[in-house]
Amino acid sequence: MGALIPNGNDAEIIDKLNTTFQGAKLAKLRKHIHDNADDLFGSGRKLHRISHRLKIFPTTGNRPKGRWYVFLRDLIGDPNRIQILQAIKDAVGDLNCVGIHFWARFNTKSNPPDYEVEVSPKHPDANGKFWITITLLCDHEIDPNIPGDPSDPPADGGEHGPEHPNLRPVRRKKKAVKKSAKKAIKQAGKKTAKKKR
Amino acid sequence: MLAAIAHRISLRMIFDQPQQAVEQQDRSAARFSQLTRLIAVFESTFSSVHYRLLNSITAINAQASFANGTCVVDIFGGLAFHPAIRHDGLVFMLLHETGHHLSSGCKLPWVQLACECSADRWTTVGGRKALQAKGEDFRLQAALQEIEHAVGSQAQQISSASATRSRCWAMNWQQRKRTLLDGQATVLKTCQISSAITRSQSGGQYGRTDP
Repeated sequence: MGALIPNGNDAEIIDKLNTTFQGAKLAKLRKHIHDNADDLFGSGRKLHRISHRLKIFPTTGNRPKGRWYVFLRDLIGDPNRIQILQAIKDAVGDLNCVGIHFWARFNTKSNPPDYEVEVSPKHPDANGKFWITITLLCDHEIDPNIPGDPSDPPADGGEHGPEHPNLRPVRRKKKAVKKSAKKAIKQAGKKTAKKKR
Repeated sequence: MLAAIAHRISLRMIFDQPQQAVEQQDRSAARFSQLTRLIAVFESTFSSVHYRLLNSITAINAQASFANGTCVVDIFGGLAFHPAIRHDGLVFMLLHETGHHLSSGCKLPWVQLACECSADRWTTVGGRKALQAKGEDFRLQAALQEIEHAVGSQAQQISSASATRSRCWAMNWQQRKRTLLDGQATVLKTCQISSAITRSQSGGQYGRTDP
């Protein structure tokens, strides 16, 4: 993103991550962690397993899901895995954190490691609310020849609650609108009936 | 200032992008001189933006980002030295990336950069005007043709029905080209890129989809 030719898989994964870690979905995620005592982002957890549990993976193109899982499992590196988990855990555990922005950009260091992670500092607003940004610095793409492994990753130790936490927001407003609309129609009907009498 | 930064030769985001091998690039002195001159014009016209030519990177792309609080535009070698990309394509690309920083239109939902559509609109309106004042210009149709020729099959991808219905043209090259050439690049209030991203669940996708 921010590129002349946006990459579909990058855009899809960034979009899904950003949607999951803000607003109603973030609230549901916090509720899942609280209600089930599920240390979802504990330091021993695996990113590809979390990705599977939260259904965050690309869906189009060249073996997207399998390659994404292999990227998170084997390519991203353990220090980065730990740093990402810690940043997410801190953000999700702090109710003043409004959400997490995820981003990826090219790593311009002259001799960088494969991948690096940058976590932005917190900048609370007047109400103490803040966002954080987790940026993946990339030096190369996932090798297109990697076969990938789309199978369901095995459960991490200490998982509690459903395998796939329900993050779907509850849709109440529509019903309320329908009910009030029905009421209005009924009342209008009654009024016209009275007038006729 | 033109910063030519050497890196390993391969590319650079998470998933695959079109590449142009170094041996198939135009690395002539004339091309270097053309790029140096253009970047100098851009740096003097849009002084808050820093331009970097990452000449050994083979991706046919460019990216706007921030580095230590500075607005940066990275131009990858695969695009900068692509023989199909000429003056018009280079200027369009530089304006589009500059537009991510300078357009006052709507922002991407994930980062404080103008969205793809805002950057495109700024390219054809505000950015172009500023550049014209410096005696520089480009032909839109030629620019789009050059880019389409360079990125090849990626530009031919067919989007899903939901993506085509979206007012955002960022993820659909044909829609993007049509919108720009027809002068229909309007100002969107909210970035709609989420609805334009093709997902296999949405009923259609480009190319082959494997697990």
